[in-house]
Amino acid sequence: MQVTHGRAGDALVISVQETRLDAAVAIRFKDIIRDITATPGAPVILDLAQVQFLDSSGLGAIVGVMKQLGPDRPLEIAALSENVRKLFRLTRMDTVFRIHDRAPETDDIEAAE
Amino acid sequence: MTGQSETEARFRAACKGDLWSIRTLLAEAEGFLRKQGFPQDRIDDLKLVLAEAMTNIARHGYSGQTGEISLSLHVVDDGLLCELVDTGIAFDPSGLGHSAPEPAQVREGGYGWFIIRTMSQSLCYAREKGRNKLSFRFPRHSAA
Repeated sequence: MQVTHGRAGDALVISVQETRLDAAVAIRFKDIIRDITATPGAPVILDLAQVQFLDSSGLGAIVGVMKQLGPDRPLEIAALSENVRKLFRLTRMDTVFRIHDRAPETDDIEAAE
Repeated sequence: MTGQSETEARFRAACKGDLWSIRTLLAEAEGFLRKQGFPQDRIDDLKLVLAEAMTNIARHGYSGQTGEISLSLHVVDDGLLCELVDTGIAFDPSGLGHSAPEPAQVREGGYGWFIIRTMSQSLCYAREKGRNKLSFRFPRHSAA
């Protein structure tokens, strides 16, 4: 499970570097994001451009991340493939998250796994 | 028409009931469905349904125990007949997934059976001789 993260203005952009965000990696994903966002601060944009397959465990992990961050630190989602967007629509999670068509450009990119 | 043999095709495979093995089985099923000319968006939908059902088997049916999941896909005129068999704990999903979890509750789970039920047809569960058998129809083209 690999992600990269960088800054875009005051936002922290986390990019999932996996084609699958599913049951096999959901818990690891949550742990990694918890580590990256351990210091309170900037709003978080989750870039899913590389993710071609998301299941309900992956979706649940994203919801879990949102809860970890708390009400004062919004989690927004970016760059959904058509397939992934479909799951957000079906579960109506597209009404819970603000969804961007693409992730903003970042600087200071770091990797985590 | 030259008979049924050209339109009839079956996929049968099994994997260990763990989350990593499920990925491999799904990839094999995808290869089969591509050869059968299924549109990619329907293959993606079916992979999601199968992933949800098999994840449930691995997590709850086997719950850390070893066991096998068998998948069979039978191509019929308008789609697929799908069957999953496991020897895990008996689990009847009849009452589950008839409505989506309310988004306002922002739940981390409880979407699996809703997804399976919404995207499949004629979902049927049976417990026979110590085995769970989940079967459903999956249309070749989406109704939506």
